[in-house]
Amino acid sequence: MKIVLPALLVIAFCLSSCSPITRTVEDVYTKVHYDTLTTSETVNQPGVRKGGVVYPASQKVEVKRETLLEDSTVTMRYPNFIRLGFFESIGTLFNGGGGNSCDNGLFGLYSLISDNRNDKSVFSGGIYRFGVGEWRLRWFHDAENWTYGFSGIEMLLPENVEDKRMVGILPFYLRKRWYLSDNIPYRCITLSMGISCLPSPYFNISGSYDIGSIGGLNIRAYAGVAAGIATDNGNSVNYPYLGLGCSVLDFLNKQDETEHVWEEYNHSSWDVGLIQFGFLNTGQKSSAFGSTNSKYVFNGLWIKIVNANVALPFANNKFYIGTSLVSALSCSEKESLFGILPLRFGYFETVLADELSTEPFVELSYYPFTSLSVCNKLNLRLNDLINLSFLVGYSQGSISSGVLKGWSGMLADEVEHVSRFYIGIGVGFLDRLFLPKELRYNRNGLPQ
Amino acid sequence: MIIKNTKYIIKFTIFSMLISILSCILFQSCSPDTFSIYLDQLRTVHCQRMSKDYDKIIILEDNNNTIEMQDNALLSMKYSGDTQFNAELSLRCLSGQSIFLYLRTTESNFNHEKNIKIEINKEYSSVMDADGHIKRVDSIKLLDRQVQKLKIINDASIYTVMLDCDTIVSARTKLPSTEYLIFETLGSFHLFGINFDSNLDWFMLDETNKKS
Repeated sequence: MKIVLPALLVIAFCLSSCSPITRTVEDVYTKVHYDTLTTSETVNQPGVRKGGVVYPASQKVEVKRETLLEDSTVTMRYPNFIRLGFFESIGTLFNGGGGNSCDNGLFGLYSLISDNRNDKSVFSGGIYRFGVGEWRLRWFHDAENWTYGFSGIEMLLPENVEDKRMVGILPFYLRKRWYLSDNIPYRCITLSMGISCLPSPYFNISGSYDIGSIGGLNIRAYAGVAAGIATDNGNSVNYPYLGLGCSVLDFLNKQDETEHVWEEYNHSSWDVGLIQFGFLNTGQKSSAFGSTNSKYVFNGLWIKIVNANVALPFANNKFYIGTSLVSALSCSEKESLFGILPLRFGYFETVLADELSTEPFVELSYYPFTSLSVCNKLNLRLNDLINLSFLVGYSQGSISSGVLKGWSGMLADEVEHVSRFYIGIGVGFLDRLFLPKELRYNRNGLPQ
Repeated sequence: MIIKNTKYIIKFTIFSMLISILSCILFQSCSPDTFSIYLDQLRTVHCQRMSKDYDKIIILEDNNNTIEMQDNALLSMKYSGDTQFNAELSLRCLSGQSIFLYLRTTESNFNHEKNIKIEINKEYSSVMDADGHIKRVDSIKLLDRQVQKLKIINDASIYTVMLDCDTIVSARTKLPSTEYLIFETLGSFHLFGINFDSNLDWFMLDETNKKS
């Protein structure tokens, strides 16, 4: 019963009409149709009539008038959130004086790949948020740009010691933003105050300078202080930090954007999505799936997690610059390339009736592999969430020195230089390819 | 020991989730721009402060059915789900010159032109429809600090607006009926005694058969 009741509350919240993502308004219009039916019938009296006598008219006229009311319900759906994000990562500079650096690298992302620690690393700690939601907080006479919200899971790592790790499940945050720019990507200063109850009780107060979102991408510079109790051993932890962070699939709306329907929502990208993956033929005998049997057509694998290709507003808006949280390519059993936040530059051209498009691009990865890929992807858009693709490309690269040593046990036999042509197919899942008419640069009369 | 800790963590996690979710529900329900007038158990009028400064529309404490609209206030009233209604309310002009009433429009698509706009001021009443035609009645006007009864009938294609016993307009329009009445003020006004009644039942019987 102790679990059922909260579970029911959670379900009730999720199913409540007050959707956290979309606000729905229904208006009824009534049209009026009038219909008048006139029936005329002439019945001649039988027999002979005498002249000079006035008889009743032999024509009967029946007028039937009907009014039909036709209700037409118009449903309008508005975005109901100020911020909705998938993942945010912050690399922090101060580590609480312990000297055990996480060696997190730019935006705090590199420690996800490498166990190799450098205690002189600039980004020695990290803050990670999974699933961020913010909604408008209407207090102080509905003062502008106040929000409340929470992260699904938040982790604060002052340094590479588990004793100092603080983890919060659904930490609650209040934020106030001051916008410095009204154009996308927005620039704003944000003050945030967060509190977590469990498993670690802590508070986290920070100020940040934010740029974004565009295509769900954001960059933030943080200064803050966090204090609380470590998750693992109950030690008290408090530390100030400076940090540089980025977030992906993280959409920020200004308050007035929530008053425009979804159809008028500002889209700046050709592609935003959660995952793209597929299979490749690289002409190798060994397979990325561990088999040496060459009878299989596909022996390689490609995967891109959290993608954004942001349109550049020139040359008919068809050029784009993009990135992925992780981009990986496995050509055979021992030939793999992958990169964190690679840079991508490409051109998006619609081939057939919006749904079929081609996308030549160059992708440069700089960590942990230094690699360059030249590809062309033919996309077939099935719906807003799923698309199919056909890929032809060439990649070459090599592992950056000093990284992945922590994985030496797993990757001891890896080839350190890869150079391959490939051809393949793929699927984009929860991955939206935008139509040219949906791009904000191509719209007239709608909010920009 | 591990199992015991796991149980605690699960319990505390659920507790933490509950606190966060309840906080969100609490904050979500805080919408200072909307309020409702409950006419009876079944009938509710949903009101929205459309002007940005919410302080210009005050629900008077002594009676939830009394609204004070200050200068340049914009208020929508929605008789939810029903477009065929008779609306009655009393108004008192405390200061200022005019009150505007907009018919056949909605809150989300509201603009000052594409609807039926009725102005009642201290010198005359006027009507402007979507085509821009204006009817002006000099004899029906706003009286300073006196209670006047405003009656609006939305009846298929016919709309009727009466002030006290005088008909400002009773005309036919091609604009579809909507659930909304929108008020705009140039001055300070009290609106009270607000009542909406559906006239759909009556309308469905309005089928005339004439025989000759």
